[in-house]
Amino acid sequence: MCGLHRQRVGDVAARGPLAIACWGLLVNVVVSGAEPGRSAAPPTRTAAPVVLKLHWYPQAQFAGYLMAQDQGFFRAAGLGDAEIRWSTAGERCLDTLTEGDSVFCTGWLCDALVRRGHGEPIVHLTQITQKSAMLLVTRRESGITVPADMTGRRVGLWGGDFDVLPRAFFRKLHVQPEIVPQSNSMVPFLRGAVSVASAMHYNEYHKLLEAGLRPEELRVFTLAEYGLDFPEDGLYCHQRCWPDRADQCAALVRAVQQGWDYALEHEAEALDVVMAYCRRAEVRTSRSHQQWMLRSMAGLIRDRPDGTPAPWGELSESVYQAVGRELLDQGLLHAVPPFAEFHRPLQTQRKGP
Amino acid sequence: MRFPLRVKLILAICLPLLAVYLTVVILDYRRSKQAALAQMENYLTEVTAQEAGVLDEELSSIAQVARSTGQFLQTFAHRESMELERLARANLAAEEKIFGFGIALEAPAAGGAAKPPAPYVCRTADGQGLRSMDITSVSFDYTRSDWYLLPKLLRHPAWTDPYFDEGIGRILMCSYSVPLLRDEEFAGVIVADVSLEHIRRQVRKTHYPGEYRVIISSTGTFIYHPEESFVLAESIFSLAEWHRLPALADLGRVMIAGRQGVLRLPDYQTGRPKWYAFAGVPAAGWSLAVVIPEEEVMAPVRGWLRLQLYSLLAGLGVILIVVMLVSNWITRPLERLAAAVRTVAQGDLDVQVKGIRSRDEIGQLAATFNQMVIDLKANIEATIRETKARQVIERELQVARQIQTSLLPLERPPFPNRPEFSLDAENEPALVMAGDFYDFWLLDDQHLAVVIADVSGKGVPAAMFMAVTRTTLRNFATPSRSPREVLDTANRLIAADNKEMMFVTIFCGHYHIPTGELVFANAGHNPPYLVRQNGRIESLGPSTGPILGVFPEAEYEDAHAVLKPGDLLLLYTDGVTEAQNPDHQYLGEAGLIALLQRLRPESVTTICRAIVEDVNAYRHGEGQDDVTLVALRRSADTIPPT
Repeated sequence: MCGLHRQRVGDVAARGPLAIACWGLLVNVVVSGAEPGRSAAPPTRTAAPVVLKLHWYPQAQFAGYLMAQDQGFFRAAGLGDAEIRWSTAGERCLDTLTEGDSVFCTGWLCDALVRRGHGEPIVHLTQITQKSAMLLVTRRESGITVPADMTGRRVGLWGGDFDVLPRAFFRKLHVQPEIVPQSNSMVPFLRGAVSVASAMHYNEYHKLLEAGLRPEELRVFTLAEYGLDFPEDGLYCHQRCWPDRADQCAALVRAVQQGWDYALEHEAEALDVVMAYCRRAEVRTSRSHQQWMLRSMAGLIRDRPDGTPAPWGELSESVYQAVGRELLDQGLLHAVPPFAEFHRPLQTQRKGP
Repeated sequence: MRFPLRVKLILAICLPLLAVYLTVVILDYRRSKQAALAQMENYLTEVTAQEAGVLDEELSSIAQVARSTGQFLQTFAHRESMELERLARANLAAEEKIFGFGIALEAPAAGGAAKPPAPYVCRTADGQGLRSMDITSVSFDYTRSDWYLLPKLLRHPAWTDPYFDEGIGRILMCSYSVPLLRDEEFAGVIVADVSLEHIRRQVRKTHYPGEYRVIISSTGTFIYHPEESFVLAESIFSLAEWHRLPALADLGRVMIAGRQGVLRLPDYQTGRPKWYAFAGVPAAGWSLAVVIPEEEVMAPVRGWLRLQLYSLLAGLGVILIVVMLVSNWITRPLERLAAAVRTVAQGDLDVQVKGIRSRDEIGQLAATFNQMVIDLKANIEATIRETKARQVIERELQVARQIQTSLLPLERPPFPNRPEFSLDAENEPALVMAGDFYDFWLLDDQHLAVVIADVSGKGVPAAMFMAVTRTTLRNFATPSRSPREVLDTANRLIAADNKEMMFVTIFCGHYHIPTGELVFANAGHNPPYLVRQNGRIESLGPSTGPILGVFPEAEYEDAHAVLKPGDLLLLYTDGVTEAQNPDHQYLGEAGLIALLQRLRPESVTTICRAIVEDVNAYRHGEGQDDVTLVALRRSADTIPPT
């Protein structure tokens, strides 16, 4: 009864004996990385395995990381047996960076920017998705045809780090809906408990289709089309990794890129691996859903918002500033942190001391 | 003989039988198939409605416990965690279908330091004991769970979709949650959980092989499926999408609309048809479907069909054997007969068909055949005997002919040392033995006797009569006796002993060589022609007496003619003038005269030969009568006697 509506069975591996061992290593890494006396030592190939904390349960949204692990790209990059950890419901993934819980972490750009603006020492390494996949979905029969129609209507928003974008949307468009919490299932929306629900194109939107709704029965508000095209998934680390472990960061980013390239080129194999991770974590999902998700992710990774091909991992300062301005306008930020402080271009760091 | 009789019989009997039997089997198969499908549909409709009803009652009874607790708490505003936990324990004790029971109170809107209590009690893994906890202590925000959100937002009780409980239950479950309303304000949630394992246990045993049940939630997600990994992971729509089966998605939509029905759809994996009967479970908005592969429904019908076909084959086999026996029984005597006929054709007439004892048409045929062979053999033997006899006669006749021929003057040309005249003759008998004859001989140095005769009848008797006549004439002809006297005497002698009443026509002439004077008597014979040197042709008629050998008292007269130098005397028999052409026209005396006119300048030998050839040509080679000719010519340069 107590669980969230997550189609998940069992717990992540983090609580097993192996996880505890990894935990110890991680603490060791974090501590050693923070120690000034050791900072001069160059990163070695035999360094303690890195921990990569992903901001949700196993699914194709993370196929690139899983393929990097599965294909041994992490090991080849000198990162040893990198440990992939999953987040649990209600957990704020980026919190773990400041809590010293993790070395690397994935998260949304707007969320990370807000945190950086509030002084959290997090650093952006690479931008995985180039576009926003977030939608607000309503049934056509709800009578909501424009965002303004949502005023006074019940809208479900996720908690955690995922409400920044829709709240920005409402502020920007002066919409005053009745915001209610949204679970991780679409059942309240399907039962008519809310008029509008939050949805990621690669996930919840497809879950609605897998619950028997036809696309023509739905009206979709893509937040990106309202000037809120915030790139979402990015890779972050604590700034204390800087510059001592810049090489390790660069190695990780390269391995992740390799993993994504591999996953997008080998869909069936990537789905096999994703489904295997899901099974291991006892997450119940369908292959068709994961396929939809992987294909949706391919578009988010490869294309810029204007449809042109994006260089892998790109975060341009202009996009950064645009997102910052929007957050500023919405009162979620007092000042936009300097781009150079937030984003560390890895190429320059390689040439560092 | 392209198809043997046996094959024809088999085809003629088996093919119509096969056609009739197959038609019956096909019609019966169709009827049985429809009956089986109708029976299956009835079963499906009934069993689906019944099981959906049972499941509905099951869920309703769980829901009832939660609703009663809600009513109770609405009336008695307990807020103490201990009291609420006791209530939950009591409910679990009272209703064993419930896996867990919880009461989660909403935090006051004004906010407060202390979290409101949220006790939860569930059964232990072995099902024997109970465990309890306060869910406010868990790490995540349960107020974002469906079981909490649904009643809160809807303001009425609701079933959640199935989910995995990550709290203390740690099982797959569904929750029924009731909003606790106090003064129209939402004050918390009462939740009763049922484990999917419990629901799994409710699923009944199957009736048909391959039959299975499926329970889907209001979102189409599998709550129960024989493929356990589908539960929570797949929905009927995800299967439809993955396998590209829009019809399956349509079925899903009808099902989650809570409707009841039966549908035939291809299986999402094999594509083989399956029957889906479905009925809603209104208490939770679920739908239960009973699925049966059509091939399993049809299995008994197919089994029946197989049995029918086997028995058909067996029946055909028996019929085949019987037909073969019958055809053997019919064809073996025929084959024997055929073999016997072949033997007969090779000349063996001792063959008899044996072993055919039946009295039917074939028996009659065999008996007739046997008799035929016997008769044939007798006939052939008789023919052989006759042939042998005829051969003997023919040999004898041949000898007789040689004898007869030897009776005629043989020397050719006759009298070569008598230049005063030239003489030749031809005799071509119609049969082996001739009835005509001619004769000539010198009576003395100056007299030549010339005779031509035609005996009545032909063959051996005529030849015999001819021999007698010739001998008689030769005996009595002397220079002193005139032809009349010779014929008188010969007539009396022959007629005296002529019991057969045969007769002969005779022309007998005595030719005086020096003068060319001819004294002759004619006993009924064709009058000869005298062809004068100048080409005039005179007939030496009429006859000077009756036919010879019949009338003893008959008297003959002498007549006289003179052959001048170069004149030709032609004696002939009626075989010449009575020769018939194919149009049955006689050559006649006119025809002979015409011949003589043409042949007059030729020698006697040529004249005789040419007339015979012309007569043969006229009658197209058919020997109708003896042809006999004698030609005598007085030489032109004959020196008159001094």
